[in-house]
Parts: sequence; structure tokens; C-alpha cells
Amino acid sequence: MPASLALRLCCQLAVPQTRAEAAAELARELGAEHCLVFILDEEVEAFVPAPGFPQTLPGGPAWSCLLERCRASGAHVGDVAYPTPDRLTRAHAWSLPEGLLFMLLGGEPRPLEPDALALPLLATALRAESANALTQRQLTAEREVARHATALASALDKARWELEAVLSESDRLNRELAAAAKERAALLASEQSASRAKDEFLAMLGHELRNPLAPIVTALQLLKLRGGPTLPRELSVIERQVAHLGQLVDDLLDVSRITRGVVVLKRARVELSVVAHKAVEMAGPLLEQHHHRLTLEVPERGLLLDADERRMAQVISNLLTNAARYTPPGGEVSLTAAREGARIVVRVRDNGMGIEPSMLRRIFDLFVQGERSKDRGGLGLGLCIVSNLVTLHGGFVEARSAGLGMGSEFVVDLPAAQLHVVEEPAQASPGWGRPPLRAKGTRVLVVDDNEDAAELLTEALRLHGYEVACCNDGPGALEAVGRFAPDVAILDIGLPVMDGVELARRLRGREDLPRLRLIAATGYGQEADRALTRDAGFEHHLVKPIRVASLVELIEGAPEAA
Amino acid sequence: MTESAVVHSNALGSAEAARELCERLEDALPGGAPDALVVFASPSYEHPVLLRALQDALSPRALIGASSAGEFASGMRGSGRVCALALRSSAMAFHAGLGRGLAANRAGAARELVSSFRGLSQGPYAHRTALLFTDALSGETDDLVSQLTLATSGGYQFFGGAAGDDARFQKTSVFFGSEVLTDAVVGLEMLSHAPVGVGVGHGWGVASRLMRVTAAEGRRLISLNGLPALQVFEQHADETGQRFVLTGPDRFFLHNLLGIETATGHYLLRVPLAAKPDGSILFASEVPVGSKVHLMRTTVDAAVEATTWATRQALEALRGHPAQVALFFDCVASRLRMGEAFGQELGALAAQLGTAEYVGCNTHGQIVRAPGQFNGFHNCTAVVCVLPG
Repeated sequence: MPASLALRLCCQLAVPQTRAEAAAELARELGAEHCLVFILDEEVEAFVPAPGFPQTLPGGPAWSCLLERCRASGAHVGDVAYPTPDRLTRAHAWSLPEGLLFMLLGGEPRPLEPDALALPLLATALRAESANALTQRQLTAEREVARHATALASALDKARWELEAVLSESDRLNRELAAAAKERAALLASEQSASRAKDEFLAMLGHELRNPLAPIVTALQLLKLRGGPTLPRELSVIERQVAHLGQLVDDLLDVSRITRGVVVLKRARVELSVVAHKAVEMAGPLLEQHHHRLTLEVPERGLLLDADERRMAQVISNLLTNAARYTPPGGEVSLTAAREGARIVVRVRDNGMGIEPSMLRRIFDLFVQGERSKDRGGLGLGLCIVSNLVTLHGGFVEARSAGLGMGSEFVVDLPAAQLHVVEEPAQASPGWGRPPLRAKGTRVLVVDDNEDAAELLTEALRLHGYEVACCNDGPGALEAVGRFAPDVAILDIGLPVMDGVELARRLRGREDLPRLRLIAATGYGQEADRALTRDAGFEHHLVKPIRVASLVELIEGAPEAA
Repeated sequence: MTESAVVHSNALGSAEAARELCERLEDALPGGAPDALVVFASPSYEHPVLLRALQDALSPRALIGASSAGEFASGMRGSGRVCALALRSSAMAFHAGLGRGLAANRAGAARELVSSFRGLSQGPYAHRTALLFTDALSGETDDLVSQLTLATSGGYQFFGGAAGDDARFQKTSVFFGSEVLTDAVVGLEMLSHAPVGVGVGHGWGVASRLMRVTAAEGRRLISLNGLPALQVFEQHADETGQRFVLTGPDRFFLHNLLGIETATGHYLLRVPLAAKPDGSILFASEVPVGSKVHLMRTTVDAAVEATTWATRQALEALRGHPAQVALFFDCVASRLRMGEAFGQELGALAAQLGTAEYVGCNTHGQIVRAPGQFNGFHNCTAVVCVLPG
């Protein structure tokens, strides 16, 4: 074949439009029936039909073998099915290192010189075209992907706008919530402030009620001293009601201290039976007054508590008082106690008017009274005090009742004392630490700015045989001691001009009064108040209203704890 | 709180099957109409009769479903049956949607379907999921899922399957209320406060050299590396010691799928369905010219492991919420290939779910577009969706 013809046909093979015709002419010129061209697909590492040639061969295993053999460069011969599956045709193939496989099928092909046909050049052209076709397909796919990406980006924009709207709304709601929270905090602070003011008012009210009570109590005692063993009925009524009023004031002050968190327990190892007996003694008059039958089932020993004896007795006494008050006359009240594991459980039961189910959870709240209390009076303080004191002792209290008319049960659950704790020796009652005084010849100075209180106490002490002087302020007292030389001075703390603490310090500073004994008489009874008077040099701290008998016992050396 | 009931019927008659389903649902989920009812029914039933009876007796607020190619539920698996899932919830909201004219206009069908969804407007629900069924013969389900993703601004996760007809590929239907439709897509929108978990897995691995698709037309693969597709499969059977019967290659096809290489390194599985006299092979889904493919293989153990993995994914996606009930879809080819061993896949599903029940069917393709799953349509893939309690 002339070189010019070979070159022309090769060039035409490189052009898609003339490829089929050129392949047929080339086959004829080279003595074959068909001409096929394959290119090496490097990604799948196999010869695949070049673009423009049939993309699907007729098939048969011989094709696979031949194409596989042709991976090696050089001339190859094999019989394959072509152009139809049922026609076997001899194939002469030339595999070029440039990744092109030139194949003549059928006929008697003449020997071939690849370079003369410019097949390396054709390889470059066809592989470029194949690569281009792949790139075009990829480009089409990429365009489709890009179209999807654009559409998705638009959709995401929309989603973002929706999200922004949601976030804006959320932000607005957050700001509203923050404002509401601030408002709530302000309200809470205001409520707390009001609550503090209420607590302080209650404390003040308690003290202010105590001050007039003190002279009333003293006056009563004076009347009793003067009147002998028989008292008019009216006086008994006054005495009972004053005692009741005093109890109410005490409760009010207790609640005030508890809500302000200023109650300090004086814990010591104590048998519950001791506490229980004390409580029964406290509540006894009311139980008797209502003709209730009290059943007591408290073991004498074995129920040890680490508790403030006085406060715990107050707890049980309050519950007994409660039972007495809300049980019709002649009722049954029981006080039982038992150990349950590491706990000591105290139960106060009655067969009285019971508690509505809706009240059971609220009954320990401050000032809360159920319907049953309407005609029973009281301030609704007792159970609140019980609950708070029990909580301070690490326990809890619970009210149970099957309903109105079904009786009540109050269960106090307290931690039993740890057995390994060494029992502290009981503290000795406070005393003078000096020989006792006797009334005759003993000089007592009473200092109180409440003239009624001062005069009544003065008179009461004189009736007991003491020599008593009275004055109403600190400067007057300092002057009086010089001429009166008292053995005992009973000082009110809330004095005008110079308070009782300052007066005591000054009296203690005087060298001419080494034997003077000081008793504080005040409405303030907290530990901090007692520490203050102790530091100022007082030997005793009595909380108003003062029982004259107690004061006399104290002066004469059998002091009663304040 | 979400309540659910899973029931099935083996009754041959459509009316009798519907009656049995209703009785069992009323027992299992008493207290009135369910919020949603999902039905999978073999093509052997008269679907209009079945659906009308269910609709009349139960009055569900939403009813969707599809013809199936094998049905299963907790404690039951088989073919030629019907099963159903009823849902009632105070924590989730369900709405049914329909898109028609799928083959001609997938974007339009997607928009029509989504127009029934309520979660696109500002609502109280944080999580949006949709269960989809398409007519398998409408084709291009990948594109449909893309269109749905666009129409919902990527705000939903999708799962479901292409309706089946026991692998006959003659007529597949979707259900919407008492309507039986072809060339359509139906969806059940699920809006929830707690996440809905979706997991996907297949146990297929590469079994041949990489090949180029040199000729294909739609779902018909003509040649690979220039050689007739059927010849390539036959040669692969020889090389791997498998039996290949030219007149009935179905069994070989079930065990040898085509895996299309993707840019992410994952393979899109394509199931060969039938050998053509010209040496080409008909597939369940499109095989593009120029794509690079492998022949893929699997084992029972790998398939079971894949289902376990998919279920775990779905449960983890609940982020600590308890599983209430699961929907499970797998290819009809998986059931036919594994035979009795398909029960092991369901056993793996049940073992992972614990006390939660499951229901599902064999489909002619599986849909999943969930976090980490960007290809919308699969074959021979296990798809698990777990609803929170």
C-alpha cells in the first residue's frame, strides 16, 4: 500500500466522521474483511473498543483470551466470533506500547508495519478522543451534580432563612424570658425582704409583748403572796390566761427564731424517756383539763438521742397539746416510742377529730390551720415549731389520719444516738459559785426602765424579806450602788441612756463592789444574748416574764436555769 | 408517648385478611382510630378491597402502604401475606402525602407530595422524617429522593422502599388511603420531639476486577470492556466456581450484583434481573455508560452483620430515647438469595431491638436519605427505622 494512501487512511481513522469508511477501506487495502481498533483503558487496565468502533463485540471466550493476550506488545493471532456470534473469523492484531490495538479480521491480511500506517499517531488521537469522551461524560455528570448542588444550595438558603427566623424568634423569647426571670428575681427579693421584715416584726412583737407581760406576771405573783392560799376565781382566770398568753408569745418568738435560722441546739446524750416525761409534765394540765386518758409506752432505757432535751420535750409537748386540743373531752391520747433500726420513732395518737386528707401535707406550714382549728383558737405555730425542731435534729415528722372524725397520728422519726459516741457528762446547773444568800439582810437593787415592772418586782422581793432599792436607768443605778451597796443587782438590758450590758461592765469595774452578784432580766434569750451578758460579768440571765419564786431560789443559791 | 401495634394476616381472601387485621389491631391498640396505618400487602391480594375495608373499619387519620415482595413482622415472615403497623402518639404527628406522574415529572411529584407535609412551616417538632413508597417501575428513584431533598430544603430524613410484586416487575403499586396507585410516590410525614433513628447497611464486597461499562441503555447493561454483559457474568461464574445456567441465570444473579464505583468510595448496588437473548442483562435500576463497576458478592454472615450494624446505627440515632417500634426494608433479592437464612437477618434485627416490635417487607429497591447517607436509592441493602417511644 502506498505510503500516501496509508497516511490518508490513518488520518481519516482519526476523524470520527470518516472513521468507519476509512476502517473499511483500510481493511480492504490490507487484504482483510474488517478492521477494529481498541485503546487501553488505564483505569480498568484492559483494551476497550475505541470510540466510533462497535462498543459491544459478538462475544465468546476467545475474545477475552485474545484481548488479554494483546496486553503484551507485538503481533497476535486468534480466532474470534465476528461479525456475528456464529461466525469464526481469524483476527490479526498488533498491540502498540502506546496503548493501541489494531486488529484486521478475515481475509488474508498482508504483513503490517505499524509505523508505516502511523498507528502510534492514531493511538494518540484515539486515546485523546476517548479521554475526551470520558471527560465529556464526566462533564455532563459534573454539570448535573452542579445543577443539583445549585438547587440544593438554594434549598439550603431557604432552610437557613427559616432557621434565622426561628433563631430570631428564639432570641426574642430568650430576651423575654430573661426579662421575666429578672422580674421574678426582683419579686423574689422583694418577697424575701418582706419575709425578713415579717420575721423581724414577729421577733419585735414577741419582745414588746413580753415587756408588759413581765409586770403583769409579777403583779399576779404579788397578789398571790398577799392574798394567801385562797385566791378569788377572777385571779385564777387572769393567771391562767396570762400563762396562755405567755405561751403564745414564747411560740411566736420560737417561730421567729426558727425562720431566721438563729436557733442553736444544745445537744447532749439523753434518754427519750426523760424527754417524754418532761413533755407529759408540760402538757399534763391541758390533758387533765380535757379529761383525756393518756397512755404512755416509752421504755425507760435504750432509746438514746443526741438531742436538745428542752427542745425535744417541746416537740412532744406540742404534739400532746395538739392532741389534747383537737380531741373531744374524755378522749384517748397515747404516746409511744420504739427503736426501728437506726431510728427512734415516737408516735402521738388520738381518737379525736382527725385531719382532712388535703391538709395532711400542709399542716406543718406556718400559720396553717385546718377547718378543725377555727373554733380551737391558736396561731397555727405549734406544728410548724415541731416540724422545724425535728428537722434541726436530723429527723422528720409526718401526720397521718384516715380523715375527719377518724383521729390523728403524728410520727416523729429521729436518728438514734451513735453508740460509739462517748456520753458527755451532764453539765452542772449554773450557780453562783459562792455561798448562798439568805433573804434577811440581803440587799437587792432592781434596775428597769419599765416603772411598773421595777416597782412590782421591788415589792415582791420585799415581801420575801429582802431589802430592795429600785431605779429606772443606768446612771441612777451607778449612783445608787454607792449608797445602797447591794449584794445582788437585777438589771434590765434594754435600758435607756446606758444599756444593762454597759451598766454591768461599769459595776464590775468598781473595786468597792467585789461581792456584787449580777442577774440579767431581759426579753432576749438567744445564746448570743446570753454570751453577751456572760462576757459583761452577769452571773445569770433570766428571760422575762420572770417568776418571782425562781428569782428567789436563784438568789438563795438554788438557782433555776434561765 | 407513642403507642404501636404490629399485626399480620395469612388469610387468602382480601376481605377476610382485612377483617383479621382489624380485629387484631383493635385488640392490640384499643381506644379508637389510629393516627397512622402502614400496610404492606402481597400482590396476590385485591388491594382496593383490602384498603377499603381497613379504611372503613379503622378510620385511620393517615394510611399509606405498598405492594410487597415478601412480608414480615415480629414473629412472622413469609410471602403472599399482609401486615400492618398502627401508630398512635401524643409526642409525634403523622401526615400522609401523595405525588403523581412520577415517570414524567419527578420534581413535580416531589413537590406535590411535600405539599401535604406540615413540618415545613414553623412547628413545635424538632425532628422531621418521612416514610416513602414509590412505584418501582417508574424508575429514577435516586433522582426522586434528590428532588424530595430539594423540595424540603434538606430538612427531612427519608427512608422506605420501591413497591414490589414478588420480583415479577410487572406491576407495583402504592397505597394512599383506600386508593391504589401506580406511577406515584406516597409518604408518611413523621414529626417528633425525639429523634427517629435510621440505619442502613449491606454486606456486599468486591468480587471481580474493575470494568468499564462500554454500552448500556437505561436499566439494560449491554457490554463491559466491550464484551457482552452476559458473557462477563458467565466468565465470572467460571472463574469463581459458581454454576451459571444461561437459560436461567436468576439464582446466579441473586448472588452476584453489580457495584457501581462512586466518588465517595462506596458502591451503588444494582441487581441483575433477567438475561436478554442479545447477551445484555436487565437490571432493577439504571447503569450509566462509562461508569466503573465490579461484580459483588456476599454471604449470609455478612448480610446478618450488615443488618445488625444498620439496627445499631438506628438505635444510636435515638440518642437515649427508648425504641418503640421498627420498620425494616430489605431487597426481595436478599430474601430469595438467602432463603431460610433470611430469618437470621430478622433475628439479628429482633435481637438488637430487644422488646420493641418490628414490621416490614421486601422491596424492589430501598430508599434512605439520612445523616451520612447521601445516595438516596439502593438495592440489596437493609434499611432500619426505629421510632422512639
